[in-house]
Amino acid sequence: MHADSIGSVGRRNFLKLAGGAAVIAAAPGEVFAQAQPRRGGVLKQIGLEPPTFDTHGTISYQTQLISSFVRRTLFKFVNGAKYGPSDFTPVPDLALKADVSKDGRVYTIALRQGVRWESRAPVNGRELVAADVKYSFDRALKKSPAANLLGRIEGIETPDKHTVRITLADAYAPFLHNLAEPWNCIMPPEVEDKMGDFKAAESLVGCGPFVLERYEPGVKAVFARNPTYYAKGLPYLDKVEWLFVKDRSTQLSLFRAGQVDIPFYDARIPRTDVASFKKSNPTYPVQFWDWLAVRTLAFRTDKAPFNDPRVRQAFSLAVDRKKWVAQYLEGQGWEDSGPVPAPMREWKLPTGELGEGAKWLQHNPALAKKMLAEAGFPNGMKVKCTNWPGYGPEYVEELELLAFSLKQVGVELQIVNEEYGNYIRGSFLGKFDEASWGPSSIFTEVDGYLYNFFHTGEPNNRSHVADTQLDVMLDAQRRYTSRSSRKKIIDDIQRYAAERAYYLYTPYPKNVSSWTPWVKNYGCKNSFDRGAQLEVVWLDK
Amino acid sequence: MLRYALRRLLLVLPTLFLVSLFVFAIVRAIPGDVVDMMLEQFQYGKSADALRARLGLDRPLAAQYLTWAGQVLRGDLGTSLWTNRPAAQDIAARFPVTITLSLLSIAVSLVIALPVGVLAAVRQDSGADYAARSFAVGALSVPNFWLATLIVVLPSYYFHWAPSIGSFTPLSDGWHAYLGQFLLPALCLGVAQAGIIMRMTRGMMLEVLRQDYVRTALAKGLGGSAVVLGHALRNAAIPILTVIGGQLPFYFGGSIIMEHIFGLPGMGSFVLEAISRRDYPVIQAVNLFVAALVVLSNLLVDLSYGALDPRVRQD
Repeated sequence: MHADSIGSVGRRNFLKLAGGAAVIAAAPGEVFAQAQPRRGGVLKQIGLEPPTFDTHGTISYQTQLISSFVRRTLFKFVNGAKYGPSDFTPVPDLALKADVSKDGRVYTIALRQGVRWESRAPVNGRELVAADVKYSFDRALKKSPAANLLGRIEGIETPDKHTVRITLADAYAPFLHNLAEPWNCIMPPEVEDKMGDFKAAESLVGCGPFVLERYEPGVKAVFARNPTYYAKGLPYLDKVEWLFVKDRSTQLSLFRAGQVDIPFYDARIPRTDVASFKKSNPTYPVQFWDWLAVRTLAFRTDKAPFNDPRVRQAFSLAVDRKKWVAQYLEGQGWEDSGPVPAPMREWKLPTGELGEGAKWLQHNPALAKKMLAEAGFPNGMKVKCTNWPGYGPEYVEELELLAFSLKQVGVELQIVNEEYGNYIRGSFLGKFDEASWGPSSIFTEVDGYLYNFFHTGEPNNRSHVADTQLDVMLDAQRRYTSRSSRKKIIDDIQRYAAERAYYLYTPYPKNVSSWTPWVKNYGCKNSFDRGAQLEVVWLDK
Repeated sequence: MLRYALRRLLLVLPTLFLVSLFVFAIVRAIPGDVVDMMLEQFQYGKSADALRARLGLDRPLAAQYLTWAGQVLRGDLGTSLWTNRPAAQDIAARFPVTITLSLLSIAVSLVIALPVGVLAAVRQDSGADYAARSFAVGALSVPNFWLATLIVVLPSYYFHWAPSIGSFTPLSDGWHAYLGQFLLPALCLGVAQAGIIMRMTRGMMLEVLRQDYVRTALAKGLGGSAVVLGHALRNAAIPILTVIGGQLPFYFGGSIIMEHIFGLPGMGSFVLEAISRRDYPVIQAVNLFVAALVVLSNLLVDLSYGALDPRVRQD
């Protein structure tokens, strides 16, 4: 049943997509009808200093951000002002197209010909070939903490210089999407041969839109246009200065003064500063945009009292999501019911279609109290809830709002503030006693919010969910490479998860970002691929 | 004098030994283990035990201390657990920034505090004295990070101007540009300490100005400024110098915040990063280095007493 749908629909769709996108990539200037791009200029952006330059040696997003300027992936997501922040349509990058076998296990990827590594030692401008892809994926599988993004690879072959054939043990729907993640960038083997590893800045050698011109530890990294970049005419910018200014108020002051063009690695400004920004810099664009870090209250569903679904459902009934968004978030947020983030519109099932589970998303304190009483807590209960307050004051306020909501049904949420190290290696991975609240990691593929959160034994399964029926569905959605078939399973997962209320998803705000008015074609993106984002940006001043 | 200097130098050694013990113990008392952090936050390596053994953290603490102390005695301050770079290399790259900021801050403190303190003492209970004392209390009350934040934030809000931050100019590009980038942080750091020094200067000057030898000098017909600067200030200088010596750790500590706000690549931001990553060898190296510097600078202050007061030389 599955093989046909995986093979034909998936392949056709992807090839159509890749073909269309190849046109876009070949004629970058023509896609922006709204203005004529201008070449030149130096864009200054507040960035983050990475702990290492080895993309396979860390899950640190700081490394992925900086690496993406130079090292490229086989595919990339669409970028530019006209695409949405969660538009993850893949387009060719170092690859031109991919064919998928009928059983969804074999991917034959045709590389773009004539792509050259930058013109310096140890690669000296040689052509990128299939062996580089094999080397990079072999290394990722061996070393990268994000190796699971590649699925279970059985073998990688290089039938010729410009073709890579990857065979998976099982069909894995997110595979092509994940090839566009900066974690899966292509790196030249000569660098490791010569330097021993990719930890140092000097190892940042690639074939992307930019080359690393200068790295000053603690100060900045300067990227210059790669003169041998395969996409003729791109990037528009002469240089990007990626500044390691750490103090938030300094970052914003430099931005107000026009000394930096983009005030954070994703252009974010604090929600509380929006009004003053509009006043002090009225010409600066301010954009609210969807982002994907959902907030969850995770429960120890493997033990009492949270192994009783009535308790979890009662907690959910205590939250007035509509009021939360309307009053606290001033309408700029999502009454998200989880598990799929609301901005992932193509996968998100509307609340009205959640079936039985939808009733637990209503605000009904009377019913919540009744259910708690039926579960053996007629006088309410006390729950210890760990969190890391360092995420920022907005997060602390959200947790207080949740505590206030729960108090109305007799639940006293005892907030336990943890130090970052303890939180990230403890509560964030499900090591807490009763409950824990916080934002999730960001995933660009819906699988990240499903498999990681709910599958038995996954480290990000913070609620300790162990549900065989759910596991079957989670495994199945990975096997359906046909989008429509996969969507049906994902809809079922959402209905099932809503009914069980394994997590309490609280509403969350939209991000708000700004950039100087002369920065053109900047599109906010839920991705760490800064190189692809900035290669289409130009300055108009 | 030589014996005094040697005796003080010898005292430095046990001080540094105690500091090294304290630093070694305290960095391991910070909640959160570097191995867990590497494994779970950044996913370095696969097994905690193997990683612990590779980093040499599986051995008893006493053995780890002795190894480190032995390295330090041979001039090796240790190697970062994260970057594999020698800590001394990073300290050498970043120390010039911190020491420049600290010295400029001291200079700012002295330039403000000495004249204002002397003036306040000479014109005791006048309007100038009240103004100087008010300034001192104000300088002491205003936290330097708040002042720095205001200096950065307010002009950007009202005038769309901000200090040049985010492009550090090395000394090799010219000393004016190099020193220029430290002026605002040095001002913020120096002003608060100026309050303390100004109050001490005023107090000591008032005491000295009432001494018989000052009255005698004035009676002999010496000019006011010659008496105040040549006799009174010189004799008031020892306690003032002591205060400055005692404040050196505050200058170093304060520079951490200033470097953060003004984006300077000094030891402050470096050690903060090391603490957040539990990079034990780097934290130990920086702390020991700063401790040694403070101890030695205090020694220099002590030795300078002899230059200011001949009685100390005779003792």
